[in-house]
Amino acid sequence: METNLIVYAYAIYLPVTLALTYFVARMLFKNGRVFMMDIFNGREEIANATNQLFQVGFYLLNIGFALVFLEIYGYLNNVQTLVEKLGFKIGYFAIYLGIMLFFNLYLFFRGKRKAKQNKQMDKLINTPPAPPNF
Amino acid sequence: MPVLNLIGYCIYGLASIAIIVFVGWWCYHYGAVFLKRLFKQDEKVALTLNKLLLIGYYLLNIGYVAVTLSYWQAITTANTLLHAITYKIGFIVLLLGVMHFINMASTYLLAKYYFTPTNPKPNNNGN
Repeated sequence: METNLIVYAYAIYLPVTLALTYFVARMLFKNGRVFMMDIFNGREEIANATNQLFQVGFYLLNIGFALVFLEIYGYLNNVQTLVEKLGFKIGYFAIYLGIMLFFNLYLFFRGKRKAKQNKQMDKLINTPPAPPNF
Repeated sequence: MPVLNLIGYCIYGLASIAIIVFVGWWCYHYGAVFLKRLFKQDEKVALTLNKLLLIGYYLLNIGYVAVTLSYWQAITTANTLLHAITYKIGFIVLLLGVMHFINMASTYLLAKYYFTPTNPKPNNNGN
């Protein structure tokens, strides 16, 4: 086969990476609501809004990275090199997505910890001092 | 014969993905108990964390398998095909085993750290 297979590679790469991004974002933020409710003390409105904003950011970052990472250099003239290049590209994209997922989880847990600290601090400040015991 | 490489990719990909999915499901299933113990009063958080950890594990490992496809040498005979496939699948399985033991050790150490006598009830203050 003498034709250049790069267009086929792009045609496979784009749907796969976009679908992967969509799937991971949906799973992450469907489950992320639990953390958000914890962070915002059960105030549902603001928890949902923050969750949505995080989701938009996640989509922007990852789709942007997928598009920037798209370009395949060289000449693909048989199926074997096509599979190798595609595996390389999609594999690295999947690893990147996994790292982003763990980074988001880290952010959730950090927020949870900070919220807990704030709650303890509030309790400390707002409890009246014990009356002097003579 | 370049077809042999493709056959190798198919067998290697299917076998290693099957192993990864199986091991991941197993750890997901039996690891929930440990996470529930770590997050004592927060069963919901433990279960969602378990789910997200499973997805992250799949992404990283299957991504690694796909990336290694581009580092194969040219395969000319059936013999080298067999050697390549067994070596590479063995490497993946070894890697999974090492990661599994690191995971078990970290779960154990976390539980030990959280349940030391100086900090006996870590989750009792509104976690």
